[in-house]
Amino acid sequence: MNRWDVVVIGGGHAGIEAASAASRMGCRTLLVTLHLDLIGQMSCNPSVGGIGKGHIVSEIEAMDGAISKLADRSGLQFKLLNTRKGYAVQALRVQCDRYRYRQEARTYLEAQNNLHFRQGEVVAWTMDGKSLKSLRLHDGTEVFGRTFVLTTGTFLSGALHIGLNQTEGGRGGERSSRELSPRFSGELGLSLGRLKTGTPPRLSGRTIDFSRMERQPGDEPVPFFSHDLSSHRLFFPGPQVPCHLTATTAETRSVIQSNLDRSPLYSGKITGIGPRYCPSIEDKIVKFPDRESHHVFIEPEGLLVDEYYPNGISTSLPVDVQEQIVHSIPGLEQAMITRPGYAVEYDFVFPDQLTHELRVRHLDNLFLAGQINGTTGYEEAAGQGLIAGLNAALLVREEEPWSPDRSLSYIGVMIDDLVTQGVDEPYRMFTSRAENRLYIRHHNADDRLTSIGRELGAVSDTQWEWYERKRESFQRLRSYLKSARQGGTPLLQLLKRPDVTLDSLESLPLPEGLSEWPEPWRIGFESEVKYEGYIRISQDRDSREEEFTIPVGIFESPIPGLSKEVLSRLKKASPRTFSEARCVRGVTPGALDSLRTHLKAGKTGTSFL
Amino acid sequence: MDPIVAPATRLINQPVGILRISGSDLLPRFSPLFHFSSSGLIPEPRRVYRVRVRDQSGETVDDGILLYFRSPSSLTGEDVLELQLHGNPHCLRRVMDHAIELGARPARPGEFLYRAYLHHKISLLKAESLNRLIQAPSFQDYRRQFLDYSATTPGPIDEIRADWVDLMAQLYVLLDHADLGEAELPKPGVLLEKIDSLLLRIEHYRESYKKNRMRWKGFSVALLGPPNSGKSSLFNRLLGNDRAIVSEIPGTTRDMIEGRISTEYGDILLFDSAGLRETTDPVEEKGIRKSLEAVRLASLVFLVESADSTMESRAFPDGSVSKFYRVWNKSDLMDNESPDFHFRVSARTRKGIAQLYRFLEEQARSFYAHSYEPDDSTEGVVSSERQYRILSRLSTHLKKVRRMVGVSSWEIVLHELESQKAMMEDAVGIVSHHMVYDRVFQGFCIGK
Ligand SMILES: Nc1nc2c(ncn2[C@@H]2O[C@H](COP(=O)(O)OP(=O)(O)OP(=O)(O)O)[C@@H](O)[C@H]2O)c(=O)[nH]1
Ligand SMILES: [Mg+2]
Repeated sequence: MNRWDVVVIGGGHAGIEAASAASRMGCRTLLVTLHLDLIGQMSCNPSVGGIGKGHIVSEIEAMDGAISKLADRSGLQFKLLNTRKGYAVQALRVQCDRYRYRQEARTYLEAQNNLHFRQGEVVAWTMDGKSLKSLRLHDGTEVFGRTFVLTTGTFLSGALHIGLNQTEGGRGGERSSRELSPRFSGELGLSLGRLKTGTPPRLSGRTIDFSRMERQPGDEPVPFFSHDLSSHRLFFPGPQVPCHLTATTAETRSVIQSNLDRSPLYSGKITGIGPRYCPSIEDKIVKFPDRESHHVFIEPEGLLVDEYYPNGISTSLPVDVQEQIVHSIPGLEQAMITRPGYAVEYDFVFPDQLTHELRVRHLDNLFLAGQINGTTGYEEAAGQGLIAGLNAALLVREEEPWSPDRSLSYIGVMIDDLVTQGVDEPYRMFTSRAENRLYIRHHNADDRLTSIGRELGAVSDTQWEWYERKRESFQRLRSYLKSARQGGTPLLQLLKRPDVTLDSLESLPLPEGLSEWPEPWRIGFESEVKYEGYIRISQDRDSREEEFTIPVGIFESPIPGLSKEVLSRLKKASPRTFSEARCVRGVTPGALDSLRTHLKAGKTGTSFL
Repeated sequence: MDPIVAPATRLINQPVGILRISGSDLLPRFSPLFHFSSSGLIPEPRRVYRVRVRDQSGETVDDGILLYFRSPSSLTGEDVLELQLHGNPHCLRRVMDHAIELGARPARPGEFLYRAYLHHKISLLKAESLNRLIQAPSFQDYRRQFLDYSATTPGPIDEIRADWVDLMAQLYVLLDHADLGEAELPKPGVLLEKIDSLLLRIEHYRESYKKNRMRWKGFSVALLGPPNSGKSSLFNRLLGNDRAIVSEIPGTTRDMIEGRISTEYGDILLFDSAGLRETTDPVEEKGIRKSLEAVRLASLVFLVESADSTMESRAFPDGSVSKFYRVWNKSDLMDNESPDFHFRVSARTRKGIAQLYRFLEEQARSFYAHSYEPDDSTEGVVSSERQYRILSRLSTHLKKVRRMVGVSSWEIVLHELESQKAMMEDAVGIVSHHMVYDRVFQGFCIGK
């Protein structure tokens, strides 16, 4: 009988992660997707990571997830970004081979025990009280499940815009469904909003003149996401494939300005809200008319295909205008468009209807993850997929749900933002969103999450062994640096100074094996030692606040800066001190801030008049 | 929230006395307080009712006006009941007792306004502004405070906040938007400039507060003199009540006591002080220091002496001698014909008091007419010691951040800046991620 522990709907980056997590945790899992060949499709630019996003990927890797490994296995160019801004905001970005990625995703999932696949479109479902009981596929098959994870991306009422033409459909030629949205709001009682996003036209490589652009090579040695050092190799003989940088010109600007009336954005055809940090080129020109030029990165789409992604000129203008835009850019004068750019509008579910485990709050066994929750990006989707998959499995095993704290991880920041603050533009991760930024670093994601993942049963033996190996090496070096001295100062103390690095200590006799340490370990160790002080400082600061006692009944009425959601949680938990309030699920540092202001104001409040 | 009750007028004998109750779901809980003949038990919001008011035993004790405001359209954002009764303190207390029996508790000072703040009816800054407005010593000053209170345009505090948001935005861009390209990223120099301009702004307000704090607002008169000369007696006499403690023991008054006489021109702020003498008592010593400080702050000073207590030395802190007026008190015991004394009075028999009072009134008139300049618009922005202290700490903090720019990594600089976010928000209100991002997108062309 078609009966499963966890049914994941959607084979995008959230779906992959959810299916993989659930099956890692031993649940009989079914992945239902529209097209089995499109599992792991990168519908936007083929890159994984970047500032903020890369942090999420490192956390998924720490819990032995998929996206990090898939990026490594299909990477064409690897770069550690932000290296001069500090340890905490450093992030890895991988330019991937779109086709290789898909292949690796399929291979990866097929290697998971307990995981099965089914191609099909969900057309209906049956409910049993507050539980989802089964799904019906377009071919009449009924799929029963104990829990469901819905990761359908931009599938809901998708509409593509190229110029003033509008067609129904998902991204990159995928399908979409108009019938499902009303049933989401009707039968499932979910409220929906509308967002939009866009892509640039793709270009034929042989028509691009790279000699007119700035070459951007990858880092050497190659930095990988994977903690399994034995997996660190390129999938092709190398060297890494570079990206190239060019820029728009005054001509680009005038082309766009004289064609704005043909833009669906500026003619009012598109009503969905787009992400401000990922604007179309027409947006940039309109908002910053004085700017001479805007960067355009020419990124390879794959090793064996001659197609390029001009990152920076996402547009929904008509194709003939897109051609003029492309031709106005140095190096692209002769470039041919292989597929035009477009904007896509789609329905999303307001994520403040979800719990921190990404379960629909008013239903027992339905989880939502990915772009359907109003986020953008593979990484954000994957991070949610992981948490939804884990919790679906925990629910099946009848165990306590788990979701990462906001002070512990970027995934925690994201989910907390989503469910407590909601979304008014597509949500994207930034390091500035994380209050505990100095502690939640790319290089210590495993310290934060791997043992939790292990406990939950999501971390494999191999991954766990690598972690233990790293911890042991760190411990050895640490005790050595504690005892070894230079001029009376323990080396460990020395390493805390801003200008001292492991490299600069190299002239001293350091324990053997250190020279074989991979770069991420070196950075990881250095930052761990250097940032201990900061983490202690901020914890101290917090501990002073713990003394704040919270008057009884204060959560009975609104508090400026606290959402209804947070307030009702606090009311239920009725904490008596600040430290208790901090432990209440969903109480963000932001919320604590408001509470603190409020309590202080309360004191002065009595002397208002 | 739990219902609170308080008189909105003072509990003295006067034509009208007003009681207010605020809380959630006041009706029908408090219906037993009143009775009105028109239809129904529950009054409609925002209508005027003539009611009979009852005490705990159900007896009608007064008649008056009832107003009912339903949440959220009320002063506090909660349900509000307002009873306008006759101004007899005994009756008002009795009705209040009844309200308390029905579940209300006596409001703490300022609690109504505090609730208004909780329900977003008024901001902390507005509340402080409202307080200044109520305290304004003259109409000129009142008018200025009222403009400030009712202003909708961004004030200086908003400007500080905008600067701060801007600073955060620069750092957000530096950390999160490296893809902008070196040339477009904010430079340390720009950051330093922003910090400096913010520091300058803060410094300006701190200075103006310090200057302002140095003088008392309005026409102020300090009573100074040796112990036991009858300063407190005179103070009470001029105020027409017994605010200050009077006794035959020298050194009775230990601290400054403030009283206020309202005249048609503006208020006379009267200060009684500790008698001046050598002392080893630290408390008294402190009081005496305050007394001397008062010489600098007051618009004019009455030097009070009497036959049994005269000043040993004329060693007063400099300051304009023109401010000093010598008063001979206890003239009923022994008069003093010396022309050194401007006034000869008796606090006991009231002799000369009326004359003294007329003099004060005349001085107040000319003070408010000529020499008094209400604060210009930048002053009084920092209007409480609380804000002043916050700004001082903020400026120290910013100076620290400033020293870090170019030395520490950007993430450490931002961390330092954010570490005092709570304090900043105390001063200028909440700064959210959204606000900073709005600023980021205004100033930078973000995104590939
Ligand atoms: N006969 C007479 N006695 C007065 C007069 N004014 C005050 N006294 C008495 O003088 C004594 C001191 O009066 P206070 O008003 O306490 O004197 P003070 O200057 O405030 O004294 P310190 O607070 O100790 O500095 C009391 O016993 C008063 O009753 C007056 O005009 N005539
Ligand atoms: Mg006295």
